[in-house]
Amino acid sequence: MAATDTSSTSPAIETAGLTKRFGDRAALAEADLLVPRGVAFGFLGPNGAGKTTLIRTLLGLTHASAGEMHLLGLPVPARRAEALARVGAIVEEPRFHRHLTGRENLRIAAACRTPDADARIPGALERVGMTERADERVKSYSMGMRQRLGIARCLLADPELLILDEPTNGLDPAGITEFRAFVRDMVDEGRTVFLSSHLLDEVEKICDMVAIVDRGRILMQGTVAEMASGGRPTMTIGCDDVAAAARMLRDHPAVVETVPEDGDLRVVLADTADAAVADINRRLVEAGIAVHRLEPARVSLEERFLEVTSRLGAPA
Amino acid sequence: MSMRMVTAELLRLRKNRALFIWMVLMTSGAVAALYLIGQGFHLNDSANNGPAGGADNLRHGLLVISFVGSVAAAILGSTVGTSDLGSGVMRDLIVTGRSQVSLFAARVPGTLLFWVPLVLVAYAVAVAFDFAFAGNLPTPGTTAIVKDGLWVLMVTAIAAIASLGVASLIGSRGISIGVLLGWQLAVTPLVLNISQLGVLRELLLSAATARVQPFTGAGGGGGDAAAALHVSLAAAILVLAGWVVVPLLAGCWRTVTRDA
Repeated sequence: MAATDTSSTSPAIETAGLTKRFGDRAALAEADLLVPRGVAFGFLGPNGAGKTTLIRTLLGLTHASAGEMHLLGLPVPARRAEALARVGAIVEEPRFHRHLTGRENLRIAAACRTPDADARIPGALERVGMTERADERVKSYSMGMRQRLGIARCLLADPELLILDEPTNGLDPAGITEFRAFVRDMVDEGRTVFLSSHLLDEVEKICDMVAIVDRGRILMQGTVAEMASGGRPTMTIGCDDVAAAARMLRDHPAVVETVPEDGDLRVVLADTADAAVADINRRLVEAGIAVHRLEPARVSLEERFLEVTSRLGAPA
Repeated sequence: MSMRMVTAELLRLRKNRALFIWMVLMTSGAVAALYLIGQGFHLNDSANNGPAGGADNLRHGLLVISFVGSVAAAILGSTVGTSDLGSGVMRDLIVTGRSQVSLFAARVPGTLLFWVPLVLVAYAVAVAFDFAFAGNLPTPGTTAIVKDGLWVLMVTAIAAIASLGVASLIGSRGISIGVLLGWQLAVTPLVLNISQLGVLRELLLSAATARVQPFTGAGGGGGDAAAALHVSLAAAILVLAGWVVVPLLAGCWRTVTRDA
């Protein structure tokens, strides 16, 4: 675990052995997470996987049972106040005093932050497109408007790190598109956005990096491309006799697995050596199999996610 | 805790229209009703009903403010102590990095800033009616007005603060109001009348407030039983302080230890 380092090079979030137990059940089990700065980081997991528990623990809403955490290089909970002063967060769904207006709710939140937070209220409202409705009571807001106001509340901190729990819940398609642009803008400004979601497609579109969590364990983390490839190069072969090609390649030393798929053959390779690909092509042609397509296969994050999470559930 | 947080707390209370209206009705409204009804009786049958005002009748106004006001204070304290939790806003305040202690601490002056003016206005209404409806009776002197005012302010402020602490400990507005009103309206009068409990009864808030009341006779929620206890002044002051400190510490402890 890193020592206290508040410089811009320290990770935005770092946990080591983070564990949270509720009785005998571990909602988080020795979670090691590293979120670098300046990226949009997706925290993926099925419902009940431990996403919100990790966020709540990081933010001091519940106590960790074991392990260490650093936010923006600062150890928490030891220097929690200092760290959270530069963090904006929405946990589960943003909540407000319904009898107050949007602007008044922001005033209450700003009062808990540094005095310059008050001055950020108009800008924050403007940024989320809520200026015109800011003086209406929150009880008249739609879910999407409350999400926007929640993000405006995060911006009062001028945050280096945004932690958003299921942020697209309640947003309509236009709102989701705007949200994607918002996240990219935040990242372009040098901020880090950590967002949890079970919506794989959204995460794949928005995020640079991803961690997959299930049953309290962080199963893997890396860039979206790394995660999708899963470390094994895969190619798709289009040919006139898929069954024969599969039989032939089964014994090839560079081939780990062959899977007929949609009339093509998906081949998982041991490594990415061009020589192996060329050899596979040559052997197929020599065997009289007409190859009309041979290309790297793109595995979606969803496929990878389902593979990883279902593997965890498989009997030992 | 900063002044901005106290102001924010006050804003939250001030903008709660339903709460504000009920608080006005249960303070100024109640005392106005007392005097108007009393004066109505007087005008209807002056042979058997004296004027509603005058020095002696100010005590009735005080008792209404202290009793009904204490009920209002229980509702107010319960609302303040649980609204952040109930609305789910507490966690959004905690993630600003502010300690739960400072978030809790801001509620105390915020509540008083909201409550004290309401009690002062109610008392001013009482004094105004007392003079207006004095008829041929002597009116209260300045010293009595000040002393009575300070007493009623103290009684209702302690009730509000103690309620805030208890509600923060319990965490549910409805249950808190039930517990506080049950304690105030049922348990306290009952305990005061169980003589076998001896000096333990002196720990009740009513016993202490009755001891420091600036007039003689029944006062507060305990009535004659509280006034008859003859608590020492030192003990009364300690009990009053205890009714502020203990609920606040309990509420603060629970605010800090409760998962938001």
